[in-house]
Amino acid sequence: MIRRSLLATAALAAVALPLGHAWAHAMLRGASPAVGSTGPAPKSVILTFTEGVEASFSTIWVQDAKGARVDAGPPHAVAGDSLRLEVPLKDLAPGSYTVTWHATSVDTHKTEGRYAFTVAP
Amino acid sequence: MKRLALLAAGLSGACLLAPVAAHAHGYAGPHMFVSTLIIDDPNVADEASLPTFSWQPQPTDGGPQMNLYAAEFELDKRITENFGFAVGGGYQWLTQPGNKTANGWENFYTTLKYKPYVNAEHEFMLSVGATVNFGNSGANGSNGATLDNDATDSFGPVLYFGKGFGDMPIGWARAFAITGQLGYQIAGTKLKVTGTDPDSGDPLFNNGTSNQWYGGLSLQYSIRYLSSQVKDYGLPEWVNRLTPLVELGWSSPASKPNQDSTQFIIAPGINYTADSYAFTVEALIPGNKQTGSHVGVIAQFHMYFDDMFPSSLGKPIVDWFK
Repeated sequence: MIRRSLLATAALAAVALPLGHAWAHAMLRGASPAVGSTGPAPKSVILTFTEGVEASFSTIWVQDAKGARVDAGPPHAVAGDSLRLEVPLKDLAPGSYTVTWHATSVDTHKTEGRYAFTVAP
Repeated sequence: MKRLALLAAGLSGACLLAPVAAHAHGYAGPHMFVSTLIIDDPNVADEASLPTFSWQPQPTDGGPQMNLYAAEFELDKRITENFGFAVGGGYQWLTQPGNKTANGWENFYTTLKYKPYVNAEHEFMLSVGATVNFGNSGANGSNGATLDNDATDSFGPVLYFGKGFGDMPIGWARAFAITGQLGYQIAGTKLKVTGTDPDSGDPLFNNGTSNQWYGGLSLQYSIRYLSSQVKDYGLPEWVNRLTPLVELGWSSPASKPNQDSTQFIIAPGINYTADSYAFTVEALIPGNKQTGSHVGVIAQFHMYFDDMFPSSLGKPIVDWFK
């Protein structure tokens, strides 16, 4: 009986833990241009994460089909929004591009990813 | 009748020495391997499965249906970045029509796990470990025997791996990942025939057990990976957090004499990963008659301490003193 109570208490404690987050890994929630999209040439790439990220400890590379870098500066937070990082781009010609990112969340967890988008003729 | 030993096979990992730079939280590059329920994942982490509930109808040999219910836990802690240990156990109830329900603690286990290799570019992770199951640490005597607790210790090596399919040429298929586990348990006291029952003529055995092979695979499909690495279909965020998966577990005796049988279980289900916790539910489908003939269920609440408590429980022990 006592052991069952302990188990019940543990289960309740597990559920009662705060389910909202304060700390976590920053996963990519969305991007502009969108992942796998085709559209007009963007002026910048904006990545939206699930957690706040440290711009100074994060990188975003944008490369054309030949591997040449087309990003035009370091990433920065969008208008004081730590969930979004933006990197300006050079003028892009039609073709496929790859975005490679490494993010450090505000609680120092590191994540990375890579996706492609296409600039339409 | 022998209930499926897989769920009590000690799923946590083991560790050795030598750190290698890697991500915590089950990442190999951009691919995250979710925590699985039948087999252990290849990662070394600070986390807890608390609780894991399961219901598993038992093989009947033609008799009345018995049902095994269990509430289990496992706590994992890193010592260094890629070296850690885990402890686990649980409590179980075995309903027996016409008989009193047997209940008691499972034998406790500990594991050490070391993750020597992660290849981020190819989304691959490899870990090795060792497990020890402590005989008689849970319910013992006749109750323990009813609940299938071994009276002797057992120990052995385990190999784990994880591979994301990010280097596949087919876009949507890149969201798949496979993880696996292969272990060998050595009985502390080997099962031996000690005589013959004068009434039934059946062999009598000591309190030993047999060596055992065990392992399994999981096939996972990460909606998050699909949306963030392949193509954003504009799915709601809660859908992006889902990972459908199917696990296959197996165990087989590896020495003679033995009182076990080869068992298979198939567990399809779904995982929801939030920022600092995950919830998974899977069906338990017997793969052969020795495993059972009715479908059960297992569900787990999993906490990621590196996200919940990054400055304390969520960082390696060696970093506590820096």
